[in-house]
Amino acid sequence: MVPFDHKRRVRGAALCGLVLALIVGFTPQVLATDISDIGFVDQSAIGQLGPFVSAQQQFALFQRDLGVQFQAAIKGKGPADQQRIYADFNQRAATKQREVFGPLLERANNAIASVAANKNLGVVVDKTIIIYGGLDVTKDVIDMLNQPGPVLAPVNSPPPSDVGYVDQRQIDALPKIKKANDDYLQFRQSLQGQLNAQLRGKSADQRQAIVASFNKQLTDQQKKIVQPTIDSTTSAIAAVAKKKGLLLVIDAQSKLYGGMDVTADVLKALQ
Amino acid sequence: MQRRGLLVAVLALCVGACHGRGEGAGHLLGFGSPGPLSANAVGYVNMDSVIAAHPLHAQLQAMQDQISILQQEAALVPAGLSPQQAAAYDAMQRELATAAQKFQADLAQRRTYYEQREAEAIARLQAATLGQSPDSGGVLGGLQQQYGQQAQALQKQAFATLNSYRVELFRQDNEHLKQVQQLIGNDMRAKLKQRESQLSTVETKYQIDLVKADQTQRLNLQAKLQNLALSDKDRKQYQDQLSAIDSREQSKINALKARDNAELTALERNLNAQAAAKYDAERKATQSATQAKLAARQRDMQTAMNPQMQQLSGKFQQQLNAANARLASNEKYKAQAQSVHNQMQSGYVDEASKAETSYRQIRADLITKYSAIAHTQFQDNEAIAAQADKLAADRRDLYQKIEEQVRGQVQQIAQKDGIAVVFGSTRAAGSAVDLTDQVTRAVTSLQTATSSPNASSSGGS
Repeated sequence: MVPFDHKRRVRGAALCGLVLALIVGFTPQVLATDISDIGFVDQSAIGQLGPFVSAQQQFALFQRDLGVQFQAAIKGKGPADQQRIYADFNQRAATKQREVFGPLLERANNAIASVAANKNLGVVVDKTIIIYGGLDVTKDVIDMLNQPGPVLAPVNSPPPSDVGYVDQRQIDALPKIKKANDDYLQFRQSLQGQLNAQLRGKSADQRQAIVASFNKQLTDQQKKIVQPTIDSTTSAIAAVAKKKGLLLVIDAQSKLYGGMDVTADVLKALQ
Repeated sequence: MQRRGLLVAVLALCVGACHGRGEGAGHLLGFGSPGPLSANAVGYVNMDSVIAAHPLHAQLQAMQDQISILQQEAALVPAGLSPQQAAAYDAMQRELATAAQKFQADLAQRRTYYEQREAEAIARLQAATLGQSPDSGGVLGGLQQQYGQQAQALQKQAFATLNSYRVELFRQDNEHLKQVQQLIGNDMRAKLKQRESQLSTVETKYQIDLVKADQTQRLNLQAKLQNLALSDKDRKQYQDQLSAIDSREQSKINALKARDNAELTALERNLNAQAAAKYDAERKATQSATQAKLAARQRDMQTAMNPQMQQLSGKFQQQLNAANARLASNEKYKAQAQSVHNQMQSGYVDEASKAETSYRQIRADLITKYSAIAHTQFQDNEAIAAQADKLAADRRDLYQKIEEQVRGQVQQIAQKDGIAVVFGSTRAAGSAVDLTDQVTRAVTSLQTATSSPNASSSGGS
């Protein structure tokens, strides 16, 4: 029995060797990519930690008070003054937001970077964009955040990644894209005014028909004005991704650590 | 030889893999049932396309349309009102806003009350579980108080040491400056005295010179005056001449003395200014030297204190962690804490629910009242917005269920195709595998019996 078993094992091993050689020889380029360096974090879980909840409560209270002050401030004022006051209050809210959340976000970013560096991850993204797979580092990040004392950023920079990211805000600032977005917004606002007038005194069925017509007009206009810029942007991003040998490109807002910033290349391609 | 070595290593790895896991080559090639271990590619799915193909997408879209209508209605402001109707509408809005503010404030007050009660109850429970005094302000409070006291004692001691050093430095400075003041004063007085003496010598010499110069004339006049036969007139004339000589001399001497006095006064003023400047410079130098010494001592003290403070803080953290660990492993405590939390939450929810019912009634009454005043039917935009929110929450639930199903399909396809990671949101693809069509086909074939929230039950029109 023993020699026979041994023979079978050797034959099995030889088969494995052959199979491995076949795999190595015929694996397409895409399969050769190292994908073990993609991690994700559940940011909503981090948002439920004590300090974040307290900060949210603190900011909510501030906003509530600010709302009351705002209503008092705009009372009896003309549209121009109201606009100015609105901008001022917005600025105050943004400043407070930075003051309340800034240190917490910095600590969270440092924790994510530190965990990612320890695990040698090339990119860490928000959990919402991953449907399957990837390495969940949420618990490690939370453990680090719960430690006393400061959380320092890692000394080493992220390793090169096959996942790219692009900053949409910079793309939106390009003149031709900005113009398309502004035109669409203007159309939408004008249609909204008409819709409000049309809806008055109508039955539920009539209202439904009016809103459906409104939505269709919006969709048509969106296809006409905005869609071409979306298509050209997508093509430009895809071309950059292929040129740089990337797996894919995500939005910068979903990227939490690492990745390859291709915004400059995309902007160049779009100009 | 090297190649053979590599082959042996590869074979050994394969033998290990095949034998150890009992899996054959089919696994490595993707035959049979490949699991995540063989997956080494990245895929992506266009979630919008996939969800649009889901059997329940029409329902999702219908809910979205309903939400849009409600949102539009919630933003409607009545038009074509008469001045009286407009006034009634404005008054109604003001009262609605006041009621809303009151309701929010009431809710916040109730929430704070229950949060406070819960915190107190948990603190008492923690203290009892850890065998502490119930008045110690909870585990954290007690430990923090202890830590605070120890840290304060350490800081107080350090401050006292630094303070006595500062007092000693100031004493030394005072003594030193007093000596400096004395030396400068002596020096000034010596210089003044020296000049005074020089001027006095010059004055004496000048006086002698004057007397010498007038000596012959004075002797002649004195000789003439010794003649007894002199007439009164002549005697008076000679005496006047003698007096004139004396006066002239005295006048000259007085002028010199006045000049010298003026010089001495100026010199004294000058020497005083110099002395003050010198003293001031010395005082400043002494003070900055003292400040530097104090700062250095403070730094040294801080450096010496830091490890002690860290040790103290570490000890506090350790105690806190130990207390937390004890609480976390105490099932009875956990059950009691949960019960306290549930009790408080249920109390708050009950009260909040009653307050909300009352608030809704107030709004309805206000709308009825002002509609009657204005002879028109006003609508409650907030109630419509609340309906829209409720419907949006239902739509979110349905969307999540659909998303869950899509995830299940994605997982199956990814495992079958050896995909390790699948992204649901991308800006553009490079070499990643597009699974959208496969997943769409799988999702389309799903039965429409998927459970879903009833849209019509919550959606108003």
